[in-house]
Amino acid sequence: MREHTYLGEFELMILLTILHLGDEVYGVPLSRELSRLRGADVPIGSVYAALDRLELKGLIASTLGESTPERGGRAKRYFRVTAQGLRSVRETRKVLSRLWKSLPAVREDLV
Amino acid sequence: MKPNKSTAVATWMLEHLTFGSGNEALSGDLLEELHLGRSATWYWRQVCSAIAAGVWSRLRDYALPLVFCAGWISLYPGWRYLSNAELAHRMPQDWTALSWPWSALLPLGHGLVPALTFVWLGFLVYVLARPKILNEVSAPSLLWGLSTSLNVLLVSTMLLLRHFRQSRVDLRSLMREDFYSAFHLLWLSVPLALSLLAALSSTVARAPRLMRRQRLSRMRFMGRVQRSVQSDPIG
Repeated sequence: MREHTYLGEFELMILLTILHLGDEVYGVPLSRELSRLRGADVPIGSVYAALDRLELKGLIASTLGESTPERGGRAKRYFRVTAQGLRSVRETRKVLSRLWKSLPAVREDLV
Repeated sequence: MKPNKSTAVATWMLEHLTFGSGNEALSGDLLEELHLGRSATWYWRQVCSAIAAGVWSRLRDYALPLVFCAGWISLYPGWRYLSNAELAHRMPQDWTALSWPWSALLPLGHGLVPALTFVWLGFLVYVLARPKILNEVSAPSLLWGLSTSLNVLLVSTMLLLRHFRQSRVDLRSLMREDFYSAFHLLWLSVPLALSLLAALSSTVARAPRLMRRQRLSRMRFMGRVQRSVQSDPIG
C-alpha cells in the first residue's frame, strides 16, 4: 500500500506559497507573502519550524545562499518544492476537491 | 531600525536557545526585517516566538516516550510483587552467612534483576508497539539502548543509596519488596524512569528521522565552512 504524506493546513499554505513565489524564495518574502494572504502577521519562527518539518518529510529542499550586510553576514536559505512535495500537493488538492464536491447542495453558504 | 544592544541580546538568545537547524538563516531574516524598518518590540516578539516553536518542536519528539515511561513505571509495584513471589524461594535462607562478594552481590542482584527486567520489558513493549521504529532502528542500536538503561539504573540506584546512607538505608534495602515501589517511596521510582527514558531516548536518537535532521545540520555547517573558505581573500 502506498504511504501518503498528509499535509497540515499551514504546511500546505507554505508549499503553495513557495510554488507561487518561484525558485528564489527565502524566509523574508515567504513570511511576508503568507502574512499578506492570511491577513495577519505570521511569526517567522513558526514558518521555519514548519519548513524544517517539510524538509524532514522530503517535501522541500533548501540550499544556503549569499549573505548580505543587512543580514549581519548571515546566509539566506533558499527553498524549493521537491517532486515528492508536488505529488503531495496534488494529492491533497484532489482529496479537498472531492470533499468540497461532496457537500450537500443546501449547504451552498459554506462554499 | 538599526540593530542595537537590545536586539543583539535577542539575536544571541535566538542563536543559542533554539534547537532548530536553520538558526543562522532565521536570525538573518529577522535582522533583514529589522533593517527594513521593523521595531525592536516586533523583533523581540519574533525571537520569543521562534524559541517557543523550537522548544515545542523538540518536546514533541520526546513527549510519547515521557508519557510511556510515567505509565509503565506505575505498573512496577505489581511486577515487583509477582517477581518477589518467584524469587523468594530461590534465595538462600541465611544469605548474610555467605562470604564476600556473594553477601553483597546477592541483595544487589535480587533487587536489581526484577527492576532491570521490568525496564527492559518496557523498552521492548514500546519498540514493538511502534513497528515504524522497529523497522528503522538497527540491532546494535537496540542493544545500545538496553546497555544504556542498565548503566543509568546502576548509577542512579547507587547515588540514591549514597544519599540515603544517613537515613540507614543500605544495600540490603534493595531486597525490600517496596524498594522501587511507586507507592511507598515514590521518588525511588526515579531510577527506573530514568533508566527506561535513557533506553528510549538513546534508541529514538538513532532513528533515521533524527539522524536525517542531524545530517541536515551537518550539511548546513559544511556549507558555511565552504562559503567562508571561498570568501577568504588569502585562500
